[in-house]
Amino acid sequence: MDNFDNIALKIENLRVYYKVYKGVLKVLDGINIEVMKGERVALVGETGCGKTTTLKSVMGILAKNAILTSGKITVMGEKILEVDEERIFQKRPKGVAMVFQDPTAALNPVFTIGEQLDLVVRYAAGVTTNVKEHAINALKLARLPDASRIYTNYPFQLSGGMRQRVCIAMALAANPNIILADEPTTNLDVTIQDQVLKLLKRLSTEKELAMILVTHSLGVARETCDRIYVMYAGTIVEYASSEHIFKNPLHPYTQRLIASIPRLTGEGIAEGIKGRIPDYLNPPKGCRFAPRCEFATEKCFNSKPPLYEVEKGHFVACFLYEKKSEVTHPNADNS
Amino acid sequence: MQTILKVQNLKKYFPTKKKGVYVKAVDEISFDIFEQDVFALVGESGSGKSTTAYTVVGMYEPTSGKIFYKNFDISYGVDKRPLKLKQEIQIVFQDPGTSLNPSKTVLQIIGAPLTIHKKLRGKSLIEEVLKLLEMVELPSDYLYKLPRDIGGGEKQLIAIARALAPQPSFIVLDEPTSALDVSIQAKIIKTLLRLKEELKLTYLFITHDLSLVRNISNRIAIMYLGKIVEQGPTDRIFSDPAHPYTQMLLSSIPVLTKDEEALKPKHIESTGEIPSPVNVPPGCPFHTRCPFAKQICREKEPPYVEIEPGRIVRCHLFSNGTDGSSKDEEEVQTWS
Amino acid sequence: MYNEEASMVLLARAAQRDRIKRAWYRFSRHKLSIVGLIMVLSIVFIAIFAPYVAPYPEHAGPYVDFGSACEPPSLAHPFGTDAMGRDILSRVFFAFRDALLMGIVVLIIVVPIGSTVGLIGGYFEGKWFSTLIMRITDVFLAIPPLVLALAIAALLRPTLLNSMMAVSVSWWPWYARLVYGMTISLKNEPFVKAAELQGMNKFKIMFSEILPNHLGPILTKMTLDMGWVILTGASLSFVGLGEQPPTPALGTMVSDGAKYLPTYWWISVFPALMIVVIILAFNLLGDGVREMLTSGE
Repeated sequence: MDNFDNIALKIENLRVYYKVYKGVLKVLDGINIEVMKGERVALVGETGCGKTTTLKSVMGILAKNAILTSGKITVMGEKILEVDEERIFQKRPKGVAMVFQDPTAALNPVFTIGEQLDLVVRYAAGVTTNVKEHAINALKLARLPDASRIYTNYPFQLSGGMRQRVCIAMALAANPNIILADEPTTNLDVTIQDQVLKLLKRLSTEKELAMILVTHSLGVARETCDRIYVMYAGTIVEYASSEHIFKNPLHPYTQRLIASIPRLTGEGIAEGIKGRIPDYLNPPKGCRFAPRCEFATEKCFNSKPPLYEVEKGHFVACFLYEKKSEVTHPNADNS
Repeated sequence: MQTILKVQNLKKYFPTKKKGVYVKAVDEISFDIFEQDVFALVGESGSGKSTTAYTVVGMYEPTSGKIFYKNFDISYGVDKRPLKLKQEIQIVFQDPGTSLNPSKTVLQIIGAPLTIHKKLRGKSLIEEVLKLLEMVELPSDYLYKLPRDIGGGEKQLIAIARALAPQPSFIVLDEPTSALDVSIQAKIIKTLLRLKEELKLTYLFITHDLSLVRNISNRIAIMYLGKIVEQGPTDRIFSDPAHPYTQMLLSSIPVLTKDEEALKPKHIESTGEIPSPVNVPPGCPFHTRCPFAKQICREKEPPYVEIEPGRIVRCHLFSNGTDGSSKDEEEVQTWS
Repeated sequence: MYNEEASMVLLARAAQRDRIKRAWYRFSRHKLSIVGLIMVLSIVFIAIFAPYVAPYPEHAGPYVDFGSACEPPSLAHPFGTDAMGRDILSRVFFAFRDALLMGIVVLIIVVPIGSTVGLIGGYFEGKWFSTLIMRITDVFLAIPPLVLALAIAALLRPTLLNSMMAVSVSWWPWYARLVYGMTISLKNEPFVKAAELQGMNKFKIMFSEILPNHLGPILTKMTLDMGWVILTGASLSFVGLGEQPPTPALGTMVSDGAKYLPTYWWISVFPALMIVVIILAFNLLGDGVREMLTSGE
């Protein structure tokens, strides 16, 4: 906040609704995210919490029935989205590349990897000479063995893991400052997931790439990212460094989510979280987690909790932490 | 410990378009499942774990090998199985979105096996379905809902209720929670474990999630390219993984705590990818990714070695003799 | 106990109502489907009550009045009169009856036959009898429906019933193909596997598990086909192979009027226009039905 030069991506008060036949789905309810240059940030949440909508707003690829009601997005100091009363300012961000969940759907099956990669090099990176060399270099960066052979292959000739590497190579070929990765390993096996995550981590360190990793897996977030934003039903409920989130999870949702995950140490299976995410047509007026929260008071149902900074850099949107002196830490994960 | 299911040298090959070339989905595997156990079959995509499950329930007929259910030979497809057997063995599929008929109400979905096996109709059918809904903790007003009006986790509970309807003793769970969120997974697993105790069920649990398996199963078999590379009691495998592939799997799991971190093998890192089951590498199929691979691993199939009671590993690192493949047969017979 | 039962019945009804409401929601989202629905309802209404809505009901029969032959459109005769002096509007209204009857009867014959063939062919794909019936279907598909219908109708005596038969013979393979394709894609779905593993019999799996999921596309195709079947019927009557005069048929009216073109253009243009209107109406309705029945928000 004090140093604007260090911010790669800033999302402020983003509200995105969707118009459907039943009414208006109030999905994103004021999202604030900040990513520093070269920083890896994870956006963690369960199905339908609006993670992907957040990324799509940055890329400017929201569905046609999306309604932007408020928000401002800045990429590398340049404003790419601003909603005010009269109009919506929006443009495609430069230097932002996206890696999608399903590499099979992200690649065109009738063109070779080379043909598709060349396009990215030519038009996204603006390179006009030695295009092929650049493309093959990108493949090598993504640690694809035998890059010049893969350059001539069609997507169906590659395995799932290789396809995702190709997608990463494609993202790299555009020379981005920021990579948005939308569940990049969800469709992959665990041993391949490990390799792809390590690759992303290494690339972001080497090239000082900022990265937002959207995932539903807290484990993946912890092992890959510096900071974690926990999302629930279109709101950011808590964010902190990866270390702090697990050492001292504050929000009841974060606590229950962490407890739901089966452990290698074999402590058995926890209860999970009762109920389900709210109906976006009529979301709760106050805290969106209140209907499922065991600590919820009347206040939680009536007003939206602001973000409280409980420790340095550790923010939580929960009234339990309104007065620091009264902060309770109901059985935090002791690890 | 009574054996409920015995799989002996099971093979399932699928023909490809090329003549004489087969996908060796399951290649000579053997395991026993004891009554009221949770036996987990763990592997990545293409390992043959689902093919094994589908062969057990009769969706496929084995290419060779035998499957015994309570000492009763069931090594054939579902069309040839008696109705009683179809009632005893049930399956819950991975994706409740496709395993429930989108044009049927919950009553019709859960009711179908009841009309087939119990000949229930009308009022008694509704009553029985309500009982089953109660068992999986779903309210009775779900009776007339269609699958598309129900959340993913609740759909899976309905699929479980359908599997329970004919009062089976053995249920195959084919990745029942991999399509669901963790907070919902916890609920489903809790329900499954409670039902197992209440109804004295035995589970064959198919999954790729080792952390989950750690918490629910008694015994594990780990599959790689159609072969079981390691099997044994859950706690032993996690505290001391023997096969390099098991170690690689464990080391790849993203974890949450330092304690868990400590359980992950450090000296091994995930490399390479699972080869196509059409072209299984000669010798030990894992040698292409194994950091400990020796010459013999590329040439000879490793034997099954019992390194501890009830713990079998298929790896040259644990075989003293050098003649792997000839010993193979004997080893299989000694423990199966 | 009584209360519980009553509440169950209420529940079932509420679920049903909710489903209908949603379907109507999806249907009415597009204005054009409403237009189609209104057009179709009007056509059906006119057909049913033709004797009451037609200005000169007696003109539908063997009526001759050369005094008012070939009169251009006027207030008394909005569509003009034909060479026999009959009011074209009245005859068109009566012609709707046979046209709709044609469509309905043909679809009633064609849909069950085609669906059953497609289901059997698809579910038992790979078996010899499946291959056999699907190849027979292909043979029928290879001949253009109009040509086949013409050939068959020419063999039989020209009556409405025979032209219905002729169109049916050329129409069922389309349903067989449609259902065949959908069955193949559904038969490996886990819910079908689940039914098989439970030991449900194959007949029940085909007709009770698989077929209901095809109802959407089948119903959509039926609505769209109504127009096309009526057109084919009109084509048959155009060449004299359908209903015989003096009963009014749209095709016959167009062909009769063609002799007087271009001077007395209204004699054939208005019946032809009505064929277009019928096809348009059913197509618009069909689009709405598709919206309504393809699940998803």
